[in-house]
Amino acid sequence: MIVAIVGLGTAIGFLAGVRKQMNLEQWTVGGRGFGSVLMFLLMAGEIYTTFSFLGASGWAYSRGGPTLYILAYITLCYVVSFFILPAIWEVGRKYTLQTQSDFFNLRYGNKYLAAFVCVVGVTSLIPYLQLQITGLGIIVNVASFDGIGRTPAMVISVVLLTAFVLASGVRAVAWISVLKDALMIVAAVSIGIGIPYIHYRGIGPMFSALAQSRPSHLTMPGATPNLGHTWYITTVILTSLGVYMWPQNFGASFTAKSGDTLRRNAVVMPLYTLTLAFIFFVGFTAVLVLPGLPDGDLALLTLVRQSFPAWLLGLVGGAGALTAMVPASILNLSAATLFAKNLCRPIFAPAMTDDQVAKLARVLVVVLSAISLYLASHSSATLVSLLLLGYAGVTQFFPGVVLGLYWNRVTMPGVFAGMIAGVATVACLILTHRDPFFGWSAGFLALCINFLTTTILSLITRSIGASAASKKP
Amino acid sequence: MCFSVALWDRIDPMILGLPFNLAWLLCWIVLTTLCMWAAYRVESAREKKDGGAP
Repeated sequence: MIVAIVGLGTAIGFLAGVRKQMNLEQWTVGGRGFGSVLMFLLMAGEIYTTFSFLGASGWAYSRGGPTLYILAYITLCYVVSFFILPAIWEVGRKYTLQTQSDFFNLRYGNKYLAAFVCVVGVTSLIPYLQLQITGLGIIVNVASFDGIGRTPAMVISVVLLTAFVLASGVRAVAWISVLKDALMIVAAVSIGIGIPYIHYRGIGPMFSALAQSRPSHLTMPGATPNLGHTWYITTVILTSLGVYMWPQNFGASFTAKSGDTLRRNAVVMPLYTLTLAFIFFVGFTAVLVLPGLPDGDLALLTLVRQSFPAWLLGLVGGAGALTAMVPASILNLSAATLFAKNLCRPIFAPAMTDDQVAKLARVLVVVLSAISLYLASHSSATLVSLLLLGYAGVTQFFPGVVLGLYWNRVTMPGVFAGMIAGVATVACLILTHRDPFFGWSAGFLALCINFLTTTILSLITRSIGASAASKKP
Repeated sequence: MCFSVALWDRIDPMILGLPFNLAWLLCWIVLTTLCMWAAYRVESAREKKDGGAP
């Protein structure tokens, strides 16, 4: 069953690019012609990763109340996107931008800033990519009743996704998302309703049982020692601003047909978040049915395997596999393009043509697949902290983007310094295990420092930045 | 909205069988869509007046 779904997905991926000539523009931004429906599916495809599937239920299981932050930040990120994405798109279209670094390069006229953005972006993307693959290994392994081992599953899927990314670029991702999102909704709703029903005769009774035996699990800080209300507030703010600062989400906005498409998308997308509630139900049910699981992320799959016939497990597994492959492909694509276009070309080989960049990016796709596969096979606990670092890292782009769009006086030194300050703060705090810092999310604190630095320095250096500011559309 | 966390982070009263905090958030997800739809209408009307400048 899983094999069928993944096979179908791959076929779609190849077909997506079959009638288009794959130059850099097509490969990265699909020719800028994606209408509302495809846009919705592409964004949904990227934003709802294995984290939403396994991680959300895993957190509901192991941490309880704090997991609600996921509902809040995803919904709020669309509000953010409603305002900033159309503006970003407009700039993208006018100056044929393809990547996030392109934006920084244009707005601030400094290729080192763009390269720095690229480095932070790629560094943050790799653990994210690796996590999708690890998740995928788990999903296929459990859903096939250990029939397919984790490592073979990972290798096969990585080979497949590398293939269709090479063939069709972002179009492949968008079209496979169609299948992925449809499956995800079906799977989530069926298990979200089915599992509580099987074990407790309904969702209400399940929560009553949980409320009675473990009342503190359902509120914050739930089962954790330090994820309380302040953490919630600061983390929600941080991550809702951060979602669209990820290079792949930022870049995906360039594929839209119009700014209006993006706005309509933003209006509708919160509703997709409702499917997460169903995933939560499964996680919460697992608390009482399967206590003491060593790895919370396995909660959803284990419970489904125990409660449902094999074909449904296969369906869920297929949805989960695609939920890993789709984001993995776009993460890979974005990182490869960023690296080739904004780091290699400007700094090392300024004479590269677009076609050569496209070829290099394709090579890098394979390299990145190999690296993440290796990391996924030899993962360690610190990868989680690397991912948190990644999230807190990319959010540091926010002042540069938003002030760059709306404020004439922001200057390049200001943004650069702010970003360095933000990234340094984040690195310090997280690597010394000080997140949350007195209850405040580390990334959030870094963001505040970033904003302050950028603003103050911009005001001081504005005369230097005059020529860059004159490029603002 | 999120600054009011302390007010709504609790289980009772249960709404449709769901703990209050979860129900609150789910409610707001739908309300956010409605608010944004309204904003979309406002922006579109404004764009028609200005002739396309956002």
